[in-house]
Amino acid sequence: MPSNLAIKFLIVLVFGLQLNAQNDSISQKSKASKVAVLFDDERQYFGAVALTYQNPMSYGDNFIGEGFEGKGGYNFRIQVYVLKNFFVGFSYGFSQFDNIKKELLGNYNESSVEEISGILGYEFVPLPRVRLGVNASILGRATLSNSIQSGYANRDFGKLRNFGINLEYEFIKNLNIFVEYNWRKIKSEIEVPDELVSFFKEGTYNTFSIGLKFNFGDIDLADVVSF
Amino acid sequence: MSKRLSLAIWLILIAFFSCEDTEIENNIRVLVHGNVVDQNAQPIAGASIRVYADANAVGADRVLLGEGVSDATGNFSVTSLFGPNDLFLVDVSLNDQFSTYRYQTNTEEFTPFNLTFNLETVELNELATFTYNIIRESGENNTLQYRFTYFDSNCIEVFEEGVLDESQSFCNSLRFTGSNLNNLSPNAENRSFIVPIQSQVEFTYSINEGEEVSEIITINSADYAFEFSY
Repeated sequence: MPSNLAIKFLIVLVFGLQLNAQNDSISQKSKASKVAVLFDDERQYFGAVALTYQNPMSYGDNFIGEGFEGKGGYNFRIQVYVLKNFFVGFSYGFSQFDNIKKELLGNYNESSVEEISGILGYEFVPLPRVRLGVNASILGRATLSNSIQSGYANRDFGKLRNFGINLEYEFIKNLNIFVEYNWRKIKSEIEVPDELVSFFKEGTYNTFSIGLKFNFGDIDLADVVSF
Repeated sequence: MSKRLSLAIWLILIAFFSCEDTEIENNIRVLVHGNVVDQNAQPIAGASIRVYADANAVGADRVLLGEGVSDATGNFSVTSLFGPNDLFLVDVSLNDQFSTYRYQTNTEEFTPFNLTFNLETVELNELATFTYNIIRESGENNTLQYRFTYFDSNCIEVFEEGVLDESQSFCNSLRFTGSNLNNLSPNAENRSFIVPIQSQVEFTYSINEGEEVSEIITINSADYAFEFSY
């Protein structure tokens, strides 16, 4: 329930900030870069926050691919543009799965995967109002909370790797509709018998996300520092 | 007085909160495997394998950690959660027509080699209902003392750090049932007990407190009826 409240608060925050920005007009002018798609100073931001609903889809011959079926999840990301459209940020989210192979994984009904990582990425500007981004996780951690029976749970831990590609359309000034595909791998720390090591050592899944991204500021961090 | 009262409250609180709960460890799985056969060494498919943990303390629940079924060759391999508890149980069963098997050990300070519990061959015996009727036909004042000695249909094997502890195990243990028949209760009609099929039941009796006589009965059908008159 606290996570739902946080999500509602963020939605209100994003729209509130957006209403505040309604008086600005969206500039269609683009200051030419040497490579047109790399950046556009007229569309430069200091940072952004994004909130998405994500649909996890497990795959592969591993404990997640064989034993999990995705249900849904959310992701929150905050990022700062360090130099032009190169950004660093922080991503927090979770993906819900049903355990469909208890014989292979142990007796729990569902697992909630908490995904925390730093992110590095770059956003290209190939068309007016459109941004195309790529990103990768750094120092990612995953915690799988397994629901057993009433009052009982256990957890599995692992390192999270994530690569994502996203497409955005700025439909209102500073507010983008945002779709993203992510490839995720969890290098698990689960201790298992020798014959199960290859099955449990990593788990793989994809997520397809859709949500909103709110941009703020109009210069990158490098320019802020240089002032 | 108030000091004594507060001390008593503290002791009650300490006792209440010190109750052990069943523990399930993070970041670990164990493998439970073996093979299920019947009394003729034929594989049993579809046998249920259930793995439980139980702190065996006041308020502690028995938690199902893993479950699976045996395949067409009787083999099973179940991945299970694990934890340090007084009881770690593996129950193997098929249905009411077969005996049950339980593997029991303590995992508070024991973790199996390679995180694997190998139950090897588990035998589930087909069961028979042994129904008996003992009727007095010799007239009043004749008495009969009788008892049946038979094998218990179920099996519990207790292991200590991977080694079978026969003193705590109950497999193929003997059971007894019997009574004294006299003028108050001259007959024993439609009484029954469950035995493994193909096992033997010993019927021992004594008429009018005379010499004991024994008969060995081999159970060769699922509904075995035994008739005796004196």
